[in-house]
Amino acid sequence: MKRLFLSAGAVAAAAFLLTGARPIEEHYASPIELALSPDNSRLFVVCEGTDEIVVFDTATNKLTRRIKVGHVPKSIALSQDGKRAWVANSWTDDISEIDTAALEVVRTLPAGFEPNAAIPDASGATLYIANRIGNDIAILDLATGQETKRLQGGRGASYLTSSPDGQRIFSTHIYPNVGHFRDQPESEITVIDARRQIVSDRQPLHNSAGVFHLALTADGRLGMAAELRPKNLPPLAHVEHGAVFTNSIAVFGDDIGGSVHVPIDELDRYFTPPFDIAITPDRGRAFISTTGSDSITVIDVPKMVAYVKSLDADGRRLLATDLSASANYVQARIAVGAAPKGLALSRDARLLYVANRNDDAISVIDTASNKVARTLVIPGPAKITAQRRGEKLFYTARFAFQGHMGCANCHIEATFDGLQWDLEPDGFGKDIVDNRLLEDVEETAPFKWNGTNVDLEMECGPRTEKFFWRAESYTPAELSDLTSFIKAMPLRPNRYRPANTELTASQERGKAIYERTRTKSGAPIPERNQCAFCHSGPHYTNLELADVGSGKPTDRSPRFDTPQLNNIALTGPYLHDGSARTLEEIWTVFNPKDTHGVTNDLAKDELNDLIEYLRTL
Amino acid sequence: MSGLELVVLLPLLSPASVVGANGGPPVPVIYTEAARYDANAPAAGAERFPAGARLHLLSEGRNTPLIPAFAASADAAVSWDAKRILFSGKQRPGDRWQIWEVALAGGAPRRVLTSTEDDITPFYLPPDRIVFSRKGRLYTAPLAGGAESPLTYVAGNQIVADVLRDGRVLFEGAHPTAVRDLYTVYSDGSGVETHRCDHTHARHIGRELSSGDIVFEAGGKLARFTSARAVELAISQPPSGFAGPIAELPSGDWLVTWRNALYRWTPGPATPKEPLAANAWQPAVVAPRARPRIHPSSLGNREGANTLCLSVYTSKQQKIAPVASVKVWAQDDRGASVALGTAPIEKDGSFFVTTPADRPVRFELLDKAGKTVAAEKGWLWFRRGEQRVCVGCHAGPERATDNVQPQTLLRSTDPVKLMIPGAAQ
Repeated sequence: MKRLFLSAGAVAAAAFLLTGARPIEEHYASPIELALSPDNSRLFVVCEGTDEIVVFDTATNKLTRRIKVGHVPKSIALSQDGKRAWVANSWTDDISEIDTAALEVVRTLPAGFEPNAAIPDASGATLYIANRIGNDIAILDLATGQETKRLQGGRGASYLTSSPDGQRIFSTHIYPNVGHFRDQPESEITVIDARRQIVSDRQPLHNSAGVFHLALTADGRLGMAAELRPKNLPPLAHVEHGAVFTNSIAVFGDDIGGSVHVPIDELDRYFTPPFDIAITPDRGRAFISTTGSDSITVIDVPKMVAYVKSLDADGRRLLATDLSASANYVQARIAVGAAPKGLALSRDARLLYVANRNDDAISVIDTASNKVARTLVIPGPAKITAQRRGEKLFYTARFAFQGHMGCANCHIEATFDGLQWDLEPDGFGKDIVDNRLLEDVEETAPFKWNGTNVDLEMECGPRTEKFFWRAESYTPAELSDLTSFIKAMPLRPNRYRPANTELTASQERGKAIYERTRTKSGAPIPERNQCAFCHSGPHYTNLELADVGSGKPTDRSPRFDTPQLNNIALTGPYLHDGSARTLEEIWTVFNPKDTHGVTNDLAKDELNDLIEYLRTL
Repeated sequence: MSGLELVVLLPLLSPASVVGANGGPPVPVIYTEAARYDANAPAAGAERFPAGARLHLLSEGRNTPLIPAFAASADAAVSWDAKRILFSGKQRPGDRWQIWEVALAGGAPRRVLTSTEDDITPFYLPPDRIVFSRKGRLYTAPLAGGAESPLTYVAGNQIVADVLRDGRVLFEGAHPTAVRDLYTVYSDGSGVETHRCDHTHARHIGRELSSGDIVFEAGGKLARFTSARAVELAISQPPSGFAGPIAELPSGDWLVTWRNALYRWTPGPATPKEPLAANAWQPAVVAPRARPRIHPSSLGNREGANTLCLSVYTSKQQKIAPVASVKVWAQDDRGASVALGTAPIEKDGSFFVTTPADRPVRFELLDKAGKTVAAEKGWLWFRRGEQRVCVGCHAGPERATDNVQPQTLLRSTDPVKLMIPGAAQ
């Protein structure tokens, strides 16, 4: 017994060494998405924390099966006849195909980088897969199991839905498309012609970033997408009056005529971030899960449509910033469990199932009374660890003034948001900072681009309370829990590093450039101007500040924290203020004097090699 | 009801039979007994209880004076653990109103502050301070006693109404349009604003309900502000006759003063019945409740306050004609208005200025010729080291910030300094 214990400990230690982060103490189900069988007899629950699909019998409310799938599953979709289900496994880059009669995985299908959703077309012959890191939508022939086409999606393509007639597939994405420095964020609804399998339209979502699920009414005349509306351009001096985020649904379609951003917040309360949407078949109501607010917002759809139609063009434009508008169409707010994510509405629309990610439970709402009728619990570890408590704190919006936002608003699903913010402490318009990935950051102190936060406790504690939440926040124990969760956040698999660990020829050439000590002409490169000097160590940072010439007149200091480079390919734009849209622009636009490494002697192909290598880190 | 009330003698019923949660034990209630109550007195800096006032405790069927040894007592505020109360009181008839605290379990009242002014309407302010009204302004002070600090910096016969659960102080004050209205301010004096920006008629002493709604008296009727609406909402009720603040019982019913008597009342058209006490005002429920949140002050250590207006053209009060500059006025140490100069307004309507702090300031919008296009009617203040972003000029609290990069910050990230030479600010 003792030997076994030691062995388990050794495995944990090995995992720690491998990832560089603390080992995950316990695995919790963390249900994030739901699907009902066509006859509504079974509820399928995607549990991203335990890599499984949990099946409930809806008549008895009993858990009847746990099906193991790939790593970090993110979605489930059923065929129209309900015989097959497809689960997108985001960290193993594949799709588990489930025989719903046998309740077994019968096939594993390939996907792109980090598949987040997979839905079949109307015929059941084709599977559409939204790949979050790939920023694309793969089309898979289900007969052969082979990918046939790849379409460009929005950045962080994550959610898919089909029009009721099956003619169109809609995709949304969680990061804004990379634009010009300090431009308003632009997102899109990518519309795919399912017959021709081409992108037929990109409906712009202006000033939106963080777009999640999209739903259509049964008649297909109205669509709604859950979206965050960040305020990253003006300085963040307070949070009231929607100063950091507002929360909306982008409403579009024939019944509206164009598209409009319909807010769901109130003057003194925020409902954030909107994640999933379920619309009743009679299109009478829409239910929206708001993950940080632990609630469901119920929209009276006819009232909302009537209200939008009553507005002229200017009124529609101003609607997005009208915190009093929701009183005209929000019917109810229903309190549920912690971090509500995916929704499933019964065919008769009498029951709404809500996946409470951080409670490992499903709220079953009686839609007649708008009350939680029962709660289905997914058995898991009896012990709630500090990391798990910290995870709850990470997602909740209750600490911010008026429930304005949580950590996960900017670090979307514990990542980043692709935005650059103007924070208050340094003055207005100064020290614009790009938001960074949180994974595997424990050993990368100091934090903040100017390196003023010596540890995560400082980063997440008083500074966050004072300049983000603007309200009394964590107790010391809560802060410890929160940082425990962040420190344990593992680095996701690097998709550019070959499986056999041998670098490609291009990557090898890039590595040589990265490590070179002389220019192409043979002149020595000062040590401090060699890539591998500052970007050294296991995280490719020497943990020091450096002036690489990227400072702007509005920066109070030209010296910035040397960023870690792990998974750098994911997190553009680059530099401290996000002014470089691509890795290449770091050198071709922002390094004219070779102050950020010597790169001006490199040809385009050589820069490409360097990028290829950086992607593997 | 907003005027002098006459003494009305009403039969008293046993309070224990009517005051209590549904089926639960009776909830003690403290109220102020006063023959006369003038809700408008603070507006004139006058005495609210010209015929005296005494706190009473309704508990377990008994109605007893709470501070019998005092010549006068009023303004009971119950601590979050329901074990102590703050009140304003006069030990002897000729005394000033002073702030006291007493344990409900018994014992002598403790004088929290000693001043030569009338200190009234104390409330607990987390974590360990109080907020109260003195000479028409709000102050905070340590609960344990000690130096007080101003919370408001503009004259307006302000009076504390409540400490909201989000940590802001709700107060009643004068508006330049001559009507009283409700305002909020953070506990460090920053972020002052009207709670709702319509100023259509006078509103008095709002109290926050467990729902977050704020209920107040206006013209003898009760009305409410909700989180969802930018406008006041009517409350179904009998004809006017309400006065003073209400209190919410754990059951959800309210304690109200209607026609000079205290009632338990379920909001609706039915007339309140069975008075709990006659000549009774300012009910306070003795029951534990959540402590309001502490506001973490982010005031910086720098002179003046920085104000960024995103667009002067965003206004729900009037359409603003094209303007070119903003003129800043402040009051000097003698209270005289001083024009401090102008700062440019960009085409998008944005401007960025540093203004004097901890004193009254106001803005005026000028056209290219220097002619006033719009001007604030009243004064506001910023705290030293405060940085504030305004959506517009009287944009209303319902107007959220638009995600735009203000042109004024593209011109310069240094604000135009418009300060009073030589003054502390």
